[in-house]
Amino acid sequence: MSTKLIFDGISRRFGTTVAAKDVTLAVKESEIFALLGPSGSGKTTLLRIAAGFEFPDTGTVTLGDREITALPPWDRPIGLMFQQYALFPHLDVRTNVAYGLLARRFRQAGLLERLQLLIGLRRRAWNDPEMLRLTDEALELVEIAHLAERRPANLSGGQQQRVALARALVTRPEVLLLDEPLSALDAGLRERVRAELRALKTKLGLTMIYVTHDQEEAFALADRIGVMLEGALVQVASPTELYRAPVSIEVAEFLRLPNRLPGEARVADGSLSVALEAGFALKMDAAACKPGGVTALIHPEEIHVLAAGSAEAKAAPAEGFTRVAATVVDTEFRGASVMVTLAVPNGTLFALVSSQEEGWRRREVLIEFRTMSVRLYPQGAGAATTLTGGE
Amino acid sequence: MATHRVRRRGRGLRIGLWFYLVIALLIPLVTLIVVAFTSQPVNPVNALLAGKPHLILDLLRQFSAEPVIEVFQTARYRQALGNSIALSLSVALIATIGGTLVAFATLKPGVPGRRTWWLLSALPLAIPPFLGAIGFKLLAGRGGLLPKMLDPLGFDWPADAVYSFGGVILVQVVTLMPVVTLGVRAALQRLDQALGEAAFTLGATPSVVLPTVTLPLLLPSLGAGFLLVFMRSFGDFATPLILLPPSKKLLIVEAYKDLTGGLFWAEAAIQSILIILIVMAAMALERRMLKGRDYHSLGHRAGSSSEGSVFGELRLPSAPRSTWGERLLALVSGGIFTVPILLILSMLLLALTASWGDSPFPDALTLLNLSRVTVTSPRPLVITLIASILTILVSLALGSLAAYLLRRQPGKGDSLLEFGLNMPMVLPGIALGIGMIAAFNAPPLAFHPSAFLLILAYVLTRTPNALESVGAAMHQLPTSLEEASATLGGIPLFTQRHVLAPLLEPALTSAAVMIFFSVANDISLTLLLAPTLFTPASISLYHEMDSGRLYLAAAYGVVLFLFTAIPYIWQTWRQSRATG
Repeated sequence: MSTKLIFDGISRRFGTTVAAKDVTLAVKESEIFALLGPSGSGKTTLLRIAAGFEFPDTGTVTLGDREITALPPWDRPIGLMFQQYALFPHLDVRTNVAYGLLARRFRQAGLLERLQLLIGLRRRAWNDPEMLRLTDEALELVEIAHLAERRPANLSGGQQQRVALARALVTRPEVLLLDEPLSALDAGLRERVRAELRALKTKLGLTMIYVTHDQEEAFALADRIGVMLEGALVQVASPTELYRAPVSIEVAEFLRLPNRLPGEARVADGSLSVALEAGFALKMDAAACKPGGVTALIHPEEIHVLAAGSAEAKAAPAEGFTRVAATVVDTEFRGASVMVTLAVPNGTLFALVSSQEEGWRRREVLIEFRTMSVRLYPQGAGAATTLTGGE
Repeated sequence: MATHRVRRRGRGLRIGLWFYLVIALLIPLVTLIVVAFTSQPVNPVNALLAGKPHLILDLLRQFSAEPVIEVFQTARYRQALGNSIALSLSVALIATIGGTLVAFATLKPGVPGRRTWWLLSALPLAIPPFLGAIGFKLLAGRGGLLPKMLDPLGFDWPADAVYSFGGVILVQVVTLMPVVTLGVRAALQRLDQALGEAAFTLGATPSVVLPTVTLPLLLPSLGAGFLLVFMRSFGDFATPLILLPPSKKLLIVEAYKDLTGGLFWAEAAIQSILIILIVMAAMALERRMLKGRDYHSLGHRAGSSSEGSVFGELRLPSAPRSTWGERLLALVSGGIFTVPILLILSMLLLALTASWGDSPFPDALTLLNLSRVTVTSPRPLVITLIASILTILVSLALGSLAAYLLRRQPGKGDSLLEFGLNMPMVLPGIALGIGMIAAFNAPPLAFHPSAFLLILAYVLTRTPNALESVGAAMHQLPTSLEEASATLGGIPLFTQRHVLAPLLEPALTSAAVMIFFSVANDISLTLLLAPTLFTPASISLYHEMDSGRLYLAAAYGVVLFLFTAIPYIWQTWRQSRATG
């Protein structure tokens, strides 16, 4: 896949706030790229720079092989779907969808047609068979042809969302930007629209940049995810990779991964011994991390909970596994899985286990996890060095 | 770079607006000050433009506080100042109390005739003080309706009482009260119902909630209403001009007389400055009162009070249909609204009167008066129409342009620009008119007297209406709509036409109606600035009144009232249809 939209060294500050810090990013053709970050992280600024509402202090934006850094929004073949949809309340659905075609026509038109278009939009639009066809196509694409004569105020949230999508797609933009477009929908509808957006990408081969603060949405929808923290793009990875191997403890924290345990790493007998403040130790490969203060990250689904006294618990742990005695203090039943809160000698751990297992129903348990699955982050430093490898 | 292009275009328009403010506002104000301190009707800018900068130095050398001190030592002026302040304070106090009572009467479900009071509460909006004073004189003054009807019945109507401070207070209270009524009513509706309900659950009865919760929450609106009425009353020239005998002094009338009667430039200028300073102080106080005191936006959804319950009240199933208090409210409202209705009816009856002898009723009715002012000699009305329409066009253009720049392309010095554009709204016409005459009566900027200067003065004082209306609408309009248009390929002109203009249209229309109404009924600027060949209907009405041709004056009054009432009703109807 070739690259479609390239941000090269983009920086933008507003007064003393740095909204984008030297961001370099290449979005590939026909991918859904999610920009993920907490509010105020600069993801919307980057989106607005792509759309042409903001202009970077330094750096360039390239679309295909054309530099578009300083182009006004109306000169960019880029569509944008707004958070609250921004449908024109005074125009019916059909005219809303045709708006982009009319606006483009206006710029190419001669003086007389320009005047006509300034006087009114409707007649001009409906007397042009090509425009009518494109509009109907867009309406049918998102299955709202039957709503064409309605005003936006008379539509439900989901219908408005479809109109906004049709309006953004009718001009066949090369890139579609989406600014948290699902945040105004309820949970059930959100899942359906996500599936439809994925189907749309396959159907149209569209490049999409999707801004969200919701990691589940990014995981569910995106081919790749870029995580932004405090104006900087800190990690670009596929959803699985991002989840498995966050590049820093800050990213792990933003992804709300629990079990971030501080400790001290020491080299002993050619291997690394990590004494965690939680009250147990990990024996790891010497190459895992430099000695010193570290934070260990244990994914909750890696942790198995064994009932104390069961046959499994009586057997010795397998090679490469760490075992710790723990007490179940709380369980949160989630249907297929259970989130178990565990007290270990000097701290708390969370384990996500299958609800079919038995161990979590007891009080006194042993927990067990693959030592290799633990990721170590040196304290006070940026990137992680780990066994399970980054990019 | 696109950003730069956009910014530069904004800058050109900004410079244009500044230029306009300097010519129309700053030069007259500076001239007022120069005149006040030098007693010379000389405009320093003219000297500069004429290439004689040394004249400015001469002028500066003549600066002295003597004229000002002299004015303050003169008993006539001191008396006028005291009278003006006392009058406007009384008007503001009475209007605030009355307006608040009517606001409650329009909302409380138990008040008999609640909907009628609500409909009538907007009626005085179509009667500016000018028409109110004319109507009052036609109703109760010498040769008016009441003496004509009552004298033959042997009842001696005290017509002379009309020509007094009491008469002025009555007219101003009736015509300015809607400012309070509408403001307090809106504030009352916006209050969060939960606050009143919280007080109930804590054991407070409605009679406790009213003084402890409701009124404190309404205080900013009451204060703002009080000050707005004070400002309007203080700057109102029409009512005292028509009702006050020469023996009774008011600052605004004395300023006018000093200029037109004896060309006492310094005295007129000093009084104008005094009027402006007092009005500006009231405005600053009003702004401060409203600032940060908006309790409505604490995050809770306000309950809708129009659904049959008022904030801080609870209708129990055992409650009577109307309590005594509610009946009293209805009575007060009825009494208050009798006056504007009578004013209009008397204007109408006198406009239709051919002659009236010694009987309680006219001898004969005729349409001649009305046809004379509209068909036979329509010139004044045509001039009113031309002046209003020109003012509307220019004011709307300036106001929209300024609103767009201030709300969409903020830049340096915006707060000063906005202040300069808004300030003329409260500038009393007499003060501004005196400044303009002083500033523009000599070449090279010899605009006075001309229709151009009159329209410029109208535009200056009415543009704030447009700016306020369009600015508020634009503020509520999410910028994402314009951005959506831009990403869809709409260049600014296309966006302005098809997104901004249709969505701002209601705001533009309502500003246009307001401007039309206030220009058609303007007397202060018009009396000072209108050239002989360009005299609008308000002047004709004043002259007919002055020379005792009451039936013709009444005919003009009726037509001017229709001029204002019809667009107003049309616009209200449109709005209510749009909101369903």
